[in-house]
This record gives sequence, structure tokens and C-alpha cells, in this order.
Amino acid sequence: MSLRARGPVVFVHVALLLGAVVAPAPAQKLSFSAAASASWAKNSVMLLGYREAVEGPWVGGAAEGKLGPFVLRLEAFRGTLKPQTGGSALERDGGEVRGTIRLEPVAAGWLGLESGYAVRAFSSAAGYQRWTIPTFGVRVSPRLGHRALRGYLSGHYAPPLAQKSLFAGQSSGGAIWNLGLMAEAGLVIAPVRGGPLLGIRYHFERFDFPNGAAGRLDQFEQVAVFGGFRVGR
Amino acid sequence: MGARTAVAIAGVVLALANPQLLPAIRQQDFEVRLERALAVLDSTETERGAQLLRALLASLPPDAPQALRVRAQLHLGAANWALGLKDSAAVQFRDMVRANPFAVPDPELFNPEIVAAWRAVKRATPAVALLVASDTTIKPDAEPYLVAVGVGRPDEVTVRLARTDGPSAGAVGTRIRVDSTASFALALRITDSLPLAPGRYQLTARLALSPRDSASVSLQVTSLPVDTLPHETPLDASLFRPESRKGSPVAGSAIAGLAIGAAAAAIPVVLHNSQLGGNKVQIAAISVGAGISVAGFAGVFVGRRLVPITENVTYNRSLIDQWEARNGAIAARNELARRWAPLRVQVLRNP
Repeated sequence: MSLRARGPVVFVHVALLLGAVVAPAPAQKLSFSAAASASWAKNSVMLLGYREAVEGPWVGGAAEGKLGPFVLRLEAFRGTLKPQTGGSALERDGGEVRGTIRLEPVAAGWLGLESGYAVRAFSSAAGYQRWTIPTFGVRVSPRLGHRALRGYLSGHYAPPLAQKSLFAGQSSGGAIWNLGLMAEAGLVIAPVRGGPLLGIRYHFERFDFPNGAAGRLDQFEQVAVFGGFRVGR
Repeated sequence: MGARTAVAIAGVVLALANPQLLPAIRQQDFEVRLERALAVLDSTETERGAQLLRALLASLPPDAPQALRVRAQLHLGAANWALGLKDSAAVQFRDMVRANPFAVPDPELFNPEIVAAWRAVKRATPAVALLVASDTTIKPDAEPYLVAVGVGRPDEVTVRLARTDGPSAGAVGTRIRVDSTASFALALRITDSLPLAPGRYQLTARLALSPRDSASVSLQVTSLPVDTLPHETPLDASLFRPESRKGSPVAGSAIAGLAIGAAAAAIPVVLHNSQLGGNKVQIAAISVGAGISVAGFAGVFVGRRLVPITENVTYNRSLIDQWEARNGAIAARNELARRWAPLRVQVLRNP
């Protein structure tokens, strides 16, 4: 991928990072949370007209630090995906590491501008597959009456510029999607000044490659429950 | 063995048994000798009486009672005057004035010539003495400390009360003209709002014409405890009115919950690629959406904010203000009472 092609993603990342370095003031709120997560992941693929779906439990955790209007979140998951009943797809091990930085320009924190970068990998008897997925988007997270209740909805766009490594040994070696979308909705129950936190979330990704169903269509879903602890002021 | 010998032996025995009795026995002996000398004088044996008085004065120790010495000096002076020994009489009168300027010959006992001679000697003799209550209690904000000054020669007297065991600040004093004796009131206050601090003080009287002639008294000033008022007990919680009540339900919470919940359920419906096949509707998304919606509905009630009840807040504040004002007044009164506590003034050493 050329630098020109990566331009919008690089710009968003640099802008958010510069803001995080320059903007914080001493009196700003600081908090930190960590959570363990159990999820069910599902990956549906249409490849050369042939559809396969695998799913299974993924477990992982997340850590989030907040300084003033900036939030940095790191997540990691790992699990095994198996073919649905009657399917003939190969069982595969998978894992993902995702980093997200968010700027909350509104004091109440209901609006956030996000930029993320994820690396996801699958390994099966057929080979190894790795995804690198930069995204940017918007997150809306209004308070649901009580300040400990917060719902959120985020929508991200993954520029059609990222690269995917196909199964090793295949002659193509790589492919570029022409449409990448990601959305997530969830609920977080957490006291503002620290304490235990609980939540649920639903995560959805769609990647369309050239030639539609005759080429490759990819869809990844994940539903998770998580619990952890938050400290801060 | 005569009665006096028996008394003397008894006295010796008692003194040996209890040494503290010895000064009292000696004083009693001096008084007996003085009375015997005065009796001799009364029997017109003036010369013999003068001899007895002279012998008595010569045998008096320095710590002998001043009143006894002064009385002996006065009568010896009068006897000398009667014998024509006027210079000797003047010496006795001068010693008497120096010993106690307050002492005055009784006009009923002495003839006017002797009194006039004594007065002439007194007015020529520089001497000063102080007389204060040996142990008294003074309210420094209302009562003065009474001091009497006696002089021989009329003079200006500077009286000063100064601390000797602490900071020198805090001395009080006055200057008065004294012809013979005078008494005045000494306020035990540094200023109108500051009483004398407890401690050890020296009360000194000094003559203006002969500053070397002075008299002093050591005083111990002690602050006595005072009764203070107890502070009011904290206000009982039942006296306060509730300062807030639950506000109206937060309808916006339900709307936000429903909106995000519906959006969560709609994510796979909207973003699903129909070419991929499979179900657009996902139970997982619906479940999460339902959870968000339920939380939104819960927020309608749990998110009700507390609305302050202004009149109750004002009422509670007034309760607290009144309580603080009452306690403040008590504290001020206690502080004033402690500051102006009665002072006990004790003489430690007579001049």
C-alpha cells in the first residue's frame, strides 16, 4: 500500500495522537479500567461462490485508559472457530489484537471520534491468514438516565486500502477489499469514580472484495460479555 | 524555783521536743521583756526603763518582729527625750521611721512635744514602705489592687509592678505624691482588654529625691479557674428537613436506550451483504439491543435526579446558622471569662 493510499488513515491517527500529547491539562480526569471478556465469534466467507461459516468461543480482555478527552483502548482475543453443523470448512485457531484511540470533544462524553488498528490472524491445516485493519469512525454513547449506565453505538469505515494476506502458499499472496465497514453496539454499567464494571457488546465487520460473490465476501461478528474494574477520578 | 524559771524550763523542754516552737518562744520572751521595760518606765524609773529597752533592742535578732522593734524604738526615743538625750531620741525616731514609716506614736500615750519631735525627725528621714494584702483575689476587669505607701520625708513615689519570671512586657505602675501615707488603686491590666498575665511580680516603690531608698514586695499572681458554659450539643438529625426529593422520570433515557438498542439489532440487517447469504437477523444483535433497551428503561427510574427543596435547604441552613451563632456566643463568653479570670495575688516576701 502506498503512502498516498494510506493518507486518510495516517492523518486521523496522527491527529488523534498529537491531540493526546498536546491537549491534556493537569486537572483533567484520569481513569483506568481493565476487563475480562468472553465472546462468541462467527466468521462467514463467500469464496469463489462457495460459502463457509465457522464460529466458536473467543476469550480475552481489554484495558482502557482515559486522560481528559482522550481514551486509549487495547483489546486482545483468542479462540477456536469450528464449522457450523453440517459444514465442511476447516477448524481454525484465531486471535486478534486491537488498539483504539478516541477523542471525546464533548465534556459529557457522549460523542467520540475514533481511530483503530487491528491485527487478526487465523491458522488452520490449510495455512495462515492475517488481517491488518485500520479504521476510523464515530462513536455515540449517551447516558441512559443514570450516570453509571451508558449505551454506545459506533460505526467505522475501513478504507479499501488495507491488505490481507491469504493462505500461505497460494499464488495470489494478497488481496485488497473495496469496502470495509465495522459497527459495534454495547452497554457499559460502571460507576464513574471507580469500581466494578459490567457490559455487553455486539461487533460486526463486513469486507467486500472485487468481483462480489464470485470473488470473496467476508463477514465477522462477535457478541461478548465483559466484566472488570475501573479506578480513577 | 520561781514560776518564771519553771516556765523557762518548760519552754526549753518544749523547744527541744519541737524545734518549730523556738521562734515563738523567743518572741514571747522579747514581748515579756518589752512589757517589763514599759512597766518600769510607767513606774517613773525612766533611766532603768531606757536601759532595759536598749538591752532589748541590742539583743533583737534581725528577723525579730518589726512591730516589737518599732514599739521598743519609739518608747526608747521617748525615754531619751524625757532624759534630755534629744540626739539619742532623734536616732531612735529615725531608726523607727526607717523600719516602718507607717508607725505613728499614739497621742494619748505620748506628750505633744515627743510627738512633734518624732514628726520633725520623720519629715527629715528619707524612707519608704509598701503595705499590701498578703493574700487577696482581684477581678482584674472590675477591681483594683489596693496598695498603701508610707514615707518618712514627703516625696514623689514611683510604684511599679513588673514581672520577674517571664517577658518584661506587662509592667504597670504609677507615680504619686506622698506626704506621710497614701493608698491608691493599681489596675491589674496591661490595657483595657488585656489583664496582667499570671506569674511572679515585683512591686517596687522608689523615692524621687533619694532613688536609693526603695521598698519592694514579691508577689505571686495566679489565674483562678472560672466556670465556663458548655457548648450546645450537635443538632439532632430529626430536626432537619429533607433537602431534596426525587425528580421526574428521565424519559430521554428510555428514548436513548430504545434508539441504541434498535440500532444494535439493526446492525447486521443493514450491513449484511445479501450476496453472502445466511440470516440477516442475528439473535446476538437482538439480545444486545434488548439489553441496551432494558437498561434505558431502567434508567428512566434509577436516573431520577435529586431536586433540591429550596425552602428546606434554607430552613436547615438557618438551623445550623443559629446553632453556630449560639455556640459562637458561648465560645466568646467563655473566652472572655477565661481572659478576665480572677487573679489571686499572694505576697511571697515582705520588705
